[in-house]
Amino acid sequence: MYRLHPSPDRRLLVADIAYGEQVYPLVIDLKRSAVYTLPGEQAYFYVWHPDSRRVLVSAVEGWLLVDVMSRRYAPLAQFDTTGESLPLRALAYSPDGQSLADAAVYAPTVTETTARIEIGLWQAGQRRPLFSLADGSMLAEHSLRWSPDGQQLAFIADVHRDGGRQTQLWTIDMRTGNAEMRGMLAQEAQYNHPPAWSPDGSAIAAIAQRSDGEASIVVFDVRSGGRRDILLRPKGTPAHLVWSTDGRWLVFSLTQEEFSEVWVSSADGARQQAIARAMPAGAPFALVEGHE
Amino acid sequence: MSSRRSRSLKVLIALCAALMCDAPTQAQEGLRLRPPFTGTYRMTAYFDHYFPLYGSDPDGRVTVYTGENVANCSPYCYRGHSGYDWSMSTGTPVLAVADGVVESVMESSTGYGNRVVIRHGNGYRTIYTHLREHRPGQGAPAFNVVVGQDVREGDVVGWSGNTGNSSGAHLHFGVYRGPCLLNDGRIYERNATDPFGWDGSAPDPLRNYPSAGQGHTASCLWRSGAEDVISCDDVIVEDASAGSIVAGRWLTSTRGNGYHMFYTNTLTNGSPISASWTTAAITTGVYRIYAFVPSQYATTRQARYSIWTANGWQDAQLNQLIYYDEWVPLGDYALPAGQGWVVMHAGTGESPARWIAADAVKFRRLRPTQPIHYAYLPVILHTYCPAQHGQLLVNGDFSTGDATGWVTERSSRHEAIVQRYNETNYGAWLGRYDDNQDRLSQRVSLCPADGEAHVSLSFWWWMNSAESEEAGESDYLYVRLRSPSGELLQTILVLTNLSQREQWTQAVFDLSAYASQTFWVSFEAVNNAEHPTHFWIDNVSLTVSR
Repeated sequence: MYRLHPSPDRRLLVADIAYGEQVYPLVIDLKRSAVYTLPGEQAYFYVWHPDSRRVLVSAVEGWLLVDVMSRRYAPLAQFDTTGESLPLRALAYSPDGQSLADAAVYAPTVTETTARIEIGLWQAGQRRPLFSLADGSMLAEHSLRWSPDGQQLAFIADVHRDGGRQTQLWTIDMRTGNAEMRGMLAQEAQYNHPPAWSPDGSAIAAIAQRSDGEASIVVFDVRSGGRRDILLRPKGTPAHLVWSTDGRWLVFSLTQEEFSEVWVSSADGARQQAIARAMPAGAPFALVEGHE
Repeated sequence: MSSRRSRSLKVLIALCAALMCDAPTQAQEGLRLRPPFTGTYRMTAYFDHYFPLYGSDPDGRVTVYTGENVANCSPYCYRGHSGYDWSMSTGTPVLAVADGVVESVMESSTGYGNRVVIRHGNGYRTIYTHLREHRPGQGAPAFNVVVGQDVREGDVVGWSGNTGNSSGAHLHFGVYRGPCLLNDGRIYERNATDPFGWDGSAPDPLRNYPSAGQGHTASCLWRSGAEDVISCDDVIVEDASAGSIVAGRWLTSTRGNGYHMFYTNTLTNGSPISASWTTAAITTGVYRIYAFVPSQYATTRQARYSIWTANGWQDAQLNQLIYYDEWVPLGDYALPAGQGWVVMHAGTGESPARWIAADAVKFRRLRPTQPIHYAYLPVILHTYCPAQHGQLLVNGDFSTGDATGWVTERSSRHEAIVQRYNETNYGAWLGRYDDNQDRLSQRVSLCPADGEAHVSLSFWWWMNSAESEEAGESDYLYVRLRSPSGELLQTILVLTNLSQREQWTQAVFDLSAYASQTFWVSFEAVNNAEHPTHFWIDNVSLTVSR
């Protein structure tokens, strides 16, 4: 198991179970302590629908919207044949469920020699390209994230430019379509952590890999554009970064040697402490009831 | 700096008409594959013919192309596997197995990681996955191809690595009889097939995958050239398989071919400890017999094998110490039908005791020699290559404080290999952990203009170990030269936990024999699971003088 995805209402949890090169999603009903599988051959979880009842998966049958309780599913209504043929790597519902954002990653070809990432928006069955990131080659998994108010979209992408590789955090203002590069998170490393919006939408937290090899947590102030680096004490490898539901704490796993711990840090980084100890290295966790 | 044109070369082109070559009879449907690499590597996972869909494999067992069915997972790891894995260092060139068109190139941190898909004739696709992290700006790209590009067999498509769901650098290679891409770029496993085909006596379970009667029987697709390390003419008998028997006390490790090996102390002559490999899948004829020598627990210089032949038992001896995850030929033997049988005796009489490894054995049927018609075409090649002087290695004293100029690989943990060992000096710290393998290497290109030069490799080493000296040799640092594709050219020094401790010692070697070649200078540490041994290397220089 390597990743957990709580439903928006935090009653259900999708657990990604990794075996070999494949990942299998299981749905865990936290109230009933029941476990469900998802239909669809080689189904792979992408995102919860805001109704907390359905999930969007990719499967051999196509892009499917699956009711996790009844296991009924239907092809994604928004997509026509164009949607099926796009090289989509991420999808995310807006908080009101009315819009679906996607990210298509185009690899270099013999005719188009540079990579690019295109962010699109589906409304009423039509896709509208919002932003194209030249030289963008990879999207961090599950990294397309709407702000809580549905006004902005964040994503993390790797960009090859000027002879180097950078992992960058971007936001798109969904009202104006303006895109802004918020900051660099890593260099010359294949990066795979999603960003985390604070509950009030004022900040985005992300894991960063510093040039000295140490990892830190950075908090971007959405309005001012300011960046605050939180150095971790002790040093370790952070992952699974989420905000507490009151927005006062950042919660993350911290791996040292063979073991991981769950740590919290105040949003300003001043207070840090472990709250759960000695899980096997890399064990994921999800904050389902918040933390005070 | 002087320069001159290289000498003219006459190129021999052997034209072998297709009808005159003995095409593999098993290869069907028009696709013949060369190995996806040069050199030999440790295969760590076979193809599972019973539902090759990973965690969805319902029987929880592994059924390999020979028909053998074993509980997950040794010696064929692992259930539901839809391709073949070979353990190889990050940065090893990965080659197209046949002509085709690149259908997909994708970067990913999950699943198959960075990977290339090639579409061949007759609907076949091949995939090359877990390629290294893509850093073209740092001279370390993952990919050497782009979508839509035509490739020829043997072209480098990318470089091996450890991306995605992978717990160590390796190549996962897969063959598909039809489309293999899902709409989000993941690999579609339903069309997976086994390029080794199916030799089992029962029908191929693939016929019932993905559902009853909807599948196919796999065909052996390897082109099976005499020089190919993989061949449809091979019968592989893994240790711990149905054809393997060990007698006496053996230990086991996952560091062998098929993710399993036996090893034991060499003890004394006449020891009853032995291992044997048998197969009935032999027809009367001449076979080249190979033993797989793993990189660990294979330190005997006198492994003795007995081969049952049409003329009775014949013996072969092998210095296992100098091989590193390689298929090593034991010789050519005329074998009687149905009686492939190799025995290895653990008692070598060496003192102090060494490790002897019993891993896979391979029987390769040699085809009758075919007449080959040669045509000699004089070709003048003009290449420019400046003669070189002085130190050719970059950052040999590690004064940058990191591994700039070097390629590093560490099997466990991720701390930097280059560290400070006193207040002012940096060096390369190898070994260091239990059960760890490190590699520190740098590529050197000399050209024909350097052919008459004196080439010298020098470095300083220091060793300390937590192993007791009574325990014998157990941790090693090999200093090796490897070809550009990673094949072992020469092991020039072997340090162990019994070498001189805690004293900086200089080692100097004359490499003039390599004066016109391109090769890797490679420091390779192998620590066993008991106690760590620390090897430090500093002030490495490779100098050219005239």
